Amino acid sequence: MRLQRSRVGIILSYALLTTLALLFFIPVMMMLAGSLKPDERVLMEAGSLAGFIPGEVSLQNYTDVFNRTEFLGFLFNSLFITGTIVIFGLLVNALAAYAFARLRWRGRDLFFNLVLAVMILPLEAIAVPLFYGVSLLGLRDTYLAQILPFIANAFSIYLFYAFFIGLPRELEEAARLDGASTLRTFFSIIVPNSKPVFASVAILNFLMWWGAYLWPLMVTIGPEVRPLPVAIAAFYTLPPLQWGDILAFSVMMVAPVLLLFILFQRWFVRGVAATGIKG
Amino acid sequence: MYILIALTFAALLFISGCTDTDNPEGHINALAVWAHAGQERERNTLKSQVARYNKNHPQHPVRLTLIPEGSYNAQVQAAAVAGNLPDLLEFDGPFLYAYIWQGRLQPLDNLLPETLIDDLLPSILQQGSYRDHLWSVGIFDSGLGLYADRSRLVAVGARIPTLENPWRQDEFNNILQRLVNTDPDGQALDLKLNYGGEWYTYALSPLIQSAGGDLVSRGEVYSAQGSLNGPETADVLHTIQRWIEAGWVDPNIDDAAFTSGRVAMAMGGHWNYARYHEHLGEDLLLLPLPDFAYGSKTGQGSWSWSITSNCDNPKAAARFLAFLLQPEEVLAMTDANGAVPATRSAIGQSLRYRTGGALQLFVDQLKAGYAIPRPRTPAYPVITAEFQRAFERIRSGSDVQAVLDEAARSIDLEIEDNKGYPWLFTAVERQ
Repeated sequence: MRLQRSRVGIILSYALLTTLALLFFIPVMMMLAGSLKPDERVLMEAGSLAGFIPGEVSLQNYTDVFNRTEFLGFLFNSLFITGTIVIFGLLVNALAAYAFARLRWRGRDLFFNLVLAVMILPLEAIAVPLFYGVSLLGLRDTYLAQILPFIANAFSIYLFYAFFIGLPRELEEAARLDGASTLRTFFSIIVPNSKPVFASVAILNFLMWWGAYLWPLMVTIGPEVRPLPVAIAAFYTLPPLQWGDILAFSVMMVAPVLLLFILFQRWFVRGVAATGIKG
Repeated sequence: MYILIALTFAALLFISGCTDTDNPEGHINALAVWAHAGQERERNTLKSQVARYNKNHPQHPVRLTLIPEGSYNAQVQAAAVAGNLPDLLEFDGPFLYAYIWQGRLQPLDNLLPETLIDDLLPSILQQGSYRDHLWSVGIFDSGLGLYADRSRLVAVGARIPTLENPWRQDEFNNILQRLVNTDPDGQALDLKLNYGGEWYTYALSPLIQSAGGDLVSRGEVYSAQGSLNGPETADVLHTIQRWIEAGWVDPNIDDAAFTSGRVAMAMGGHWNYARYHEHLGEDLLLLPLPDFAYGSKTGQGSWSWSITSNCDNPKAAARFLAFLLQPEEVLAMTDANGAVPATRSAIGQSLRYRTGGALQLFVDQLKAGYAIPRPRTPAYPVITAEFQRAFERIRSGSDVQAVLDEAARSIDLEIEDNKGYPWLFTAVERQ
């Protein structure tokens, strides 16, 4: 009887999980299927099962995206901007977190609390003063304007801090006894033992800045530094809209993020477990 | 980790190298021009026009930046706030007055040849004029009307209306009812509800104005109280709400309600013609909007060009504008985007728009005063945003009067906050 009950429980939970998975997967399927259809069929079939089936597969929409936009240029811009924020961010935020977690200096707790307080400020709240700052510095329409303000990130510092504080002190003490400097200890002992949190912070930051729209919209004009989320707006013209092209553009925009997640999934899950991030 | 540091420095070097490499102001004689990146043909036409112009004007070449249409206004406004506007700027016409009031533009007075000004459609001059100055000119205007399937109108015994003798409100309602009765799914009208956004203001204002209402009263200081929430406006929006609730209006989610034959009539603009004609052929009719009491009205206005306050050489900028307004250049653009040519000389050479052309109605409406410009006030961005929000709620079944009262309050509050947008703050007085 108990065995039967647990089987029913398993079946029910699998049914629920499958439904939820489908629910999350449906938009992705529609995007993928729509990107392979002619424009006029995308919306016509969106409300039916046919919306998820490409039918006769054609890569025309993908070809159109390359012909109608400078997609590779925009892709490079997005990769460069996001990649630079992530790389600089790992270095700056990990060092800051290490200083908060391990070094003793006057005002440490006060500064750490200030950093935590900054976490509650969304970009929308500081966008206007930040915009004036960037404009005064003459940085509008540059890569720098899209990178510089976002390297230091309070949430990343917090994640690193939470991980570093849990590392056994003995690891560092052994290095110190061998005469290693603080920086040497950080790079030789802390970093190799903190791969999961580095992976998590890298992925989270990548996800956050890959899809950023508001800030690039405010500070860019020309195509030279325009990232993908702003570039897709080129398709929103007078009707009829090229829905197939829009979806093909979206698929190619989402692909690097999915690839990154699939490649580093193991690290990401470990990092999430180690830092206690919740969705 | 050393690789990380090396990468960091490499990136730093690259970023520093990239900064300011493409500053348009760096080219002393170049004319910086921003335009919206419309559909592919439109975009390519403008690029080839710039190439043609630059070939003959090497001393003041145009440096064109195309900005995505979907984010255009936001990006240009941000640049305006930062004081980074180019010499010559294209923008959506009704936003002109906000740019003028902010002091971002220079008047075009005396910069364009008189013959060219005389050649422009009255609607172009109306949209581009503010406080006794001409501030902007469009290369094309828009057309708004009612497309219909002739055979289905004939089948229900409907009269074919003309601009001089349009359908009256009760006649239109009656025809709509007859079409609904003979329609398999009971939907007979496409109001392009799928477009949303600016379409609501552009397309529904003429119906409201035809009933004697408006979005705002257009005196010295504009006010929405009594206009937007007045009985005439509320009546029209009540009527549309009833049509939607009765299921007479196709939601047009797939943008194919008319071309697939689901409805017999579709409100639409010049941009719909090519596709509609492809599907309906000789059965396609272009009709004026119905007369709700004060005559048939229609919309007007489209993308427009102005010289900004940043421009040191307005004569060079005006020269490029005059080039774009030559009949062959106007036609090159309107052939690409299907819009109404802005000049009479270009209209005379246009197969679609000249007398007897399939879209002559659009020209007649713009020439003969049937077209009413959207409110010519710096408050327009707020007016249209509030109206769009209000109509979204009305189409979903909200109480019409309550929604309009709320929208009118918000608009008037915005106007009051800006002290009625007094003229003395503008660029003309500062010069």
